[in-house]
Amino acid sequence: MRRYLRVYAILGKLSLETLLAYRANFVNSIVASLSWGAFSFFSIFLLVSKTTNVYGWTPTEIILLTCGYSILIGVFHTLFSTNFERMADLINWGQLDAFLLRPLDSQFSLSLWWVNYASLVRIMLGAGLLWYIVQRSALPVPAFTLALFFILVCVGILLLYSIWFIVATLLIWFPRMSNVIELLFNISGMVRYPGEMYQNALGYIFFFFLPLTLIITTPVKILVRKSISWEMILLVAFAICFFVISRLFWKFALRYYTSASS
Amino acid sequence: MIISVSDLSKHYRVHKKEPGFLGSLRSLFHREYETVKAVDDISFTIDGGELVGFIGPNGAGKTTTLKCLSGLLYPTAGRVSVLGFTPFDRKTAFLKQIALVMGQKNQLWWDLPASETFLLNKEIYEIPDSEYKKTLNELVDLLEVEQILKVQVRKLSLGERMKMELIAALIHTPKVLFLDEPTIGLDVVMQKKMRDFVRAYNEMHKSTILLTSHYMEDVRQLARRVIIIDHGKILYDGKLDQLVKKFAKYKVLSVILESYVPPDKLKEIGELTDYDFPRAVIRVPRSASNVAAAQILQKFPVDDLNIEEPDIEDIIRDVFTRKP
Amino acid sequence: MRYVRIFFIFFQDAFVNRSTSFVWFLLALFNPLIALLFWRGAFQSGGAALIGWSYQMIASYYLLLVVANTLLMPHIEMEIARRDIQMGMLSNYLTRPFPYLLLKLFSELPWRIIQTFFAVSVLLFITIGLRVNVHIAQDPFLLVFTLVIAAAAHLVAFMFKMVLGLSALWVTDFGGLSEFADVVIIIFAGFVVPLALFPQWLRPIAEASPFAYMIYYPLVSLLGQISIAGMIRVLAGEIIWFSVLFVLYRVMWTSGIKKFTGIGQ
Repeated sequence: MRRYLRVYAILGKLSLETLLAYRANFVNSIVASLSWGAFSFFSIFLLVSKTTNVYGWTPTEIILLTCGYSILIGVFHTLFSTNFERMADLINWGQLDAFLLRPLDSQFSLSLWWVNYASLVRIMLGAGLLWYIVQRSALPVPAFTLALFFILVCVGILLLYSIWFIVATLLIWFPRMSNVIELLFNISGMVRYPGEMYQNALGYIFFFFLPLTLIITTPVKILVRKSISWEMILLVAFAICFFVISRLFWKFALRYYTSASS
Repeated sequence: MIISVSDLSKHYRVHKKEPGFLGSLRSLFHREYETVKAVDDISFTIDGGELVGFIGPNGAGKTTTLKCLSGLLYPTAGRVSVLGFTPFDRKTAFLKQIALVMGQKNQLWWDLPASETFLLNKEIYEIPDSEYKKTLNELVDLLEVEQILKVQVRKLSLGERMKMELIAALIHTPKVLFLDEPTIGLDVVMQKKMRDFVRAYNEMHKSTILLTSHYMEDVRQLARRVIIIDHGKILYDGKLDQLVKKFAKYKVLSVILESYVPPDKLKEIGELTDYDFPRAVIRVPRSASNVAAAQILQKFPVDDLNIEEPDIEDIIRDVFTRKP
Repeated sequence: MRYVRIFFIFFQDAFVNRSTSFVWFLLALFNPLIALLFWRGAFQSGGAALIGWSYQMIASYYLLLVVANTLLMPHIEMEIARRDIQMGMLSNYLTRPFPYLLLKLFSELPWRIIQTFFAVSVLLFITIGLRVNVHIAQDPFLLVFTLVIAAAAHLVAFMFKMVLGLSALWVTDFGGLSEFADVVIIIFAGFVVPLALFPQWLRPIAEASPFAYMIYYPLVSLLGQISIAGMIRVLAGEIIWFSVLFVLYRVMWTSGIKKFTGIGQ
């Protein structure tokens, strides 16, 4: 609805104004973003500096995975992460009330309240390096492939978001385990490794993580052109499925919400 | 009938935690639960424009009831209807017409002027421009905050912040207003201003206001009708002056003595609740108050004598402890 | 006697929050397992010929890394920066006849113990239940010396975190600095790959940094990769770094406290 778009535009404006009101906060968020952005590349560099082949992926391709990851997680952190952290605190202290009283879908307002502009640097980092590698290795990337890549990244973001939201909803029953959001940050990091790494290992345990393993692997595979059609469909199916579950689960969980006593 | 509550209950299952290390160990293996009945089978109705005071001690169930009425909590049993809606459904049309103001609630953006939050709410509640301007000016006038509209919220004092929170909460002119402990933590001057504001708002907009408090002065100043709640149950629902007549079985004689009279002699008249020479306070049954007054004037050297109704606090305390 | 009692109170508090501890443990468990999966893939496709470590060595490294992490890495800096300094709780400590440093140490140890309990349980399950071979040093003398190195390592890490936490007295927003520190520690303490596998140009820097002494050296010592002479050098390094950090802490404390009480809450 148009109202939601207008509201979101204002939220984006307010986030920006707040940043400008306190530059120190902004600088620190950028430092944090850059640190983790650099880390994801540096760590993968350390891992592949002494290897030549991992599950059929060359070091360059693995770095491309990290580029894709950087873009995806950059968007995710810009739009969602801060809100999830705050949601965990709000649930822990029984302070969801303000969000539940507004004539605004609570999942929407909780997930999108704050825009973390500092994380844009991770997107730039990832996109920049991606473009550089693609140019340097003279990888042919027709416009259609690029479009498909970005669409699948978006689908991946939707899937990641839905998983996070479902886990965050569990906090309604276990409010004290708010550090599970930290765990989610780490678990999300697993998507920057080749999906095959998990699919071949210890079967059943990692089947549990199956949706996650598709998130970055699939779009990047398209970019380097390995055949994949069933994974694409699976990714889209998972994304839609998990999103619907996240909404239904949230509405159900609210019955068990006990707000803070006065 | 704007608000209708039938047989409302809200129960919580809480697991009992024993203190100490052994207690924590024991709870690893065996969890004991108990049911807390925050609200236990209550019913009442409220008409449009009424200003109702909901009083009770801490933990009585007042806030829980308000939260059930505003859709925050899911009732364990019973039916609730506000403005024709079921609150827990949280329909947009419903939420646009209500407001819940609680002391601790913090909906203003901290680093920005309050006016920015108002604009956000304007979009959320879809308030038309003209109506927004009108309401904003009215509230700003009423609360006298024109000078600080553009000041960052973090730089405001507690009182100023509370006023801004109020404006943010009322900018959409709700038809039903739930106020939870509106004067808690405020100094005496602010408390009076808050009460004046609530009264003025009720008169101006004819909105239905339900306020909870454990301060008698709030109720005395604002509510013509009170609902007394304790341990999740309603003890009284009716007019404030009826409450006094119904439950106050005695009157209070306040005496200023000219010269010292031994307590025993005063006790012959009635119950001596306070004796700090020259002032004595004696409780007598309602019907006997005039006779007792005459007796005092006859027997003792009296400078001044007053016949008073008992304090509302005392009446209500008696209602809670079920004194006859 | 009062030390024991104080410690016990902190332990009770940590115990009540054991579910939070469990999630922290999962965090410590997760990343080494992922890295290990990565190496498994590299070894399986023959792409790990260059590293000079056997798969068993690598596996042992990462599995023991979980325990080293839960046992040796304190996380006290957030509490110092946010709760004590920014929210002013430090005032409470200033009026107590008990050193702040010790109180923080006592409050942090129970969390290490509880999380290590989880870690060791899982490790035992993996080695005994899943019959995965974990290689550690056999010589009892080496093992005892490893314990000494590990204890010193914890103190070095603890001192570093205290210094980091106190920096909140000067830095306006602590968040960025602490995230940056986290990243540096993760890389240079050997959480991503063992320092021995770092590229040539980076190895000397990494091995001299205080972070190597926090996790990496105790770990490879346990793995039996260091000689006695090497262990002595490690211990010397730990003593040096501890002293440097301790002096830094005292300096920051004395000048910082003046700043703190001057501004108030």
